[in-house]
Amino acid sequence: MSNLDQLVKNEFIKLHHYKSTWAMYIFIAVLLVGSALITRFFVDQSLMINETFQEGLAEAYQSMGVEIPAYDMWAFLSENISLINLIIIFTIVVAAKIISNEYKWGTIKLLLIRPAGRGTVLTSKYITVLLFSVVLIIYTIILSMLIGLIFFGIDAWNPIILDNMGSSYTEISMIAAIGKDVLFYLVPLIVIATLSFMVAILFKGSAMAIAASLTVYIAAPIITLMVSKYEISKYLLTAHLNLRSIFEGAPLVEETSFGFSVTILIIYYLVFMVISWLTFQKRDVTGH
Amino acid sequence: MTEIAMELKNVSKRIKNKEIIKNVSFQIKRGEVFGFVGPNGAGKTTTIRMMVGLMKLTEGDIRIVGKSIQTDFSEAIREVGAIVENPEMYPFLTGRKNLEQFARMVPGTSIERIEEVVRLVGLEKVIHDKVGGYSLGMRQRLGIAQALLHKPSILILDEPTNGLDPSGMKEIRQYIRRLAEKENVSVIVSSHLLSEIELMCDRIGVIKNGSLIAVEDVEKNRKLQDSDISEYLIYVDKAKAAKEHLDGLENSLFVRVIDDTTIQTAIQREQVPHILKELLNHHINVYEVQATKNTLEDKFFDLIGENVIE
Ligand SMILES: Nc1ncnc2c1ncn2[C@@H]1O[C@H](COP(=O)(O)OP(=O)(O)OP(=O)(O)O)[C@@H](O)[C@H]1O
Ligand SMILES: [Mg+2]
Repeated sequence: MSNLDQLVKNEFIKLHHYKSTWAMYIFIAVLLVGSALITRFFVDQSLMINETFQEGLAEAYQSMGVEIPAYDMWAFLSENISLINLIIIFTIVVAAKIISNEYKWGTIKLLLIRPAGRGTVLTSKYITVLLFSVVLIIYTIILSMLIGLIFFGIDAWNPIILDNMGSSYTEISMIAAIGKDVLFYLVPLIVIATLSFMVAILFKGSAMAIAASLTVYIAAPIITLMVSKYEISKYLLTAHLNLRSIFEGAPLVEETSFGFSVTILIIYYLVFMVISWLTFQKRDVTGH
Repeated sequence: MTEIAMELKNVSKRIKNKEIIKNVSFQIKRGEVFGFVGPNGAGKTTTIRMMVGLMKLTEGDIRIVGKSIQTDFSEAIREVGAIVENPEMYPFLTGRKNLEQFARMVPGTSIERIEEVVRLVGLEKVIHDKVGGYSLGMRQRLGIAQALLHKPSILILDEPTNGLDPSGMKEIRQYIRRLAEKENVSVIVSSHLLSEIELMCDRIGVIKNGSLIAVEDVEKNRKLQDSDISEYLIYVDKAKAAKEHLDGLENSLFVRVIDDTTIQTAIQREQVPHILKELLNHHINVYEVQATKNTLEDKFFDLIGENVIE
């Protein structure tokens, strides 16, 4: 295990030699600048505030005596946290390619005839996938703050807002609220990335992995609704990916508790990991 | 240190009930160049894949410097550098960056060592170019550089002369000999052409349909034995006269005239001086005698027969 860090370094170097990786960074930047331009110059910001503050949120602010914040850097940032949806899609692609490319190029052979051993090689790739998604998230946050600061300025350094904490609206600092949102995104990110990783290992190719993972992730609500009248629907992975709405009391399948969802997610995750590692360690590396 | 660098013991491989490798056993000594020859589909690459742990053994064991590839993988593989099938590298990285990747995979491989192997395989000029633009010969060299990076005691090269031009082939041959003789590295080279690797090998193992059918000592086979019958071309000044004279000898030989100055005959090696004396004594000048077939090649063809891919 001693040179796991060196293997992760190798994977990062390879990953950042693909044009598609740099396209991901650029795409996020373009989206952020675009959305800032539109918000700043083409949309009435008070309208945007009104849109956000529907459904009793504005009343909650009033009744709790908290001032409705102006549209500033923080608002811009918290709006763009949803870009993690895009990062999840990027991560699906990276998880699939990091495995399939080695088979495509035939370099898998050179990777596996080193003292590190197969388990360590696979671990280094898995760590790289997750680390890359974290890098993308941090990049998105920092860039959002910079762009937000330039276009909208800043009202307070850490404003207090109201946020849905399951049972009711609660006062919470802006930074904590954003942190909570990011954590809720990390759950489907990790599970779906692991799914893509597993399918890529099973098929030694990326097409199936990307297709399957994208379908599960994007069509999760539809798939769940389609089978919702059957008992098994509550055991489907797709019913539990949106952990945030479950936490806020609006699960896709009725009466699933937060604890139940977490348990199901952990079980799926463990199954994906075990299948991935066992397959990769046991299987012969052949020419085809 | 043991004198045996690698040992295959009753190695078998079955894939979907098809026996691809059948009970193969042999040993490779330290500092020896071992040729692994067989027709297409004989099982060379499969055997090599098992040697380096890419494929599991169905039966038997492979020990590298005494350590089993099955139970002691890390220790065993540390001693091995290999190219399996084709010298594949990351096409979007330069040769140098590729080698840096492999250096990081084995702790203790220095930058100086990278430069050393680049010089050894003569890639200095293109090492900063992307591998995607390399010719097959250049990739073959980079593959060898990669295999040597961590100073293995066994080098395994699957068809290393594939894609090399004659001078490149000669260079690799000399280089492999030097590694074996000076650095005591054992080298296993596979090929489907005996003639390509015969010159650099100490011993040759012949594999056919997954069975090791012979192991031959190249040095012993290089010289014709006295009782071996072989074909000779004799270059003379008067071919017809030579044939007439030889036909007239007591135990008449089969002699064929090829052209005005060349005859061909099949005789035992010990008869050669006698025939030459006869010709010279009768004022037929002899300029050259050439044995047209090499015995190892004969044996190889006898063993392999026709190249039938099953
Ligand atoms: N993964 C596999 N599944 C089924 N059969 C296989 C597999 N790998 C190899 N074989 C079969 O095993 C036999 C030996 O193949 P191998 O690649 O070892 O031959 P080789 O001696 O290296 O031939 P070549 O000179 O063409 O490289 C062939 O008949 C091949 O079809
Ligand atoms: Mg082969």
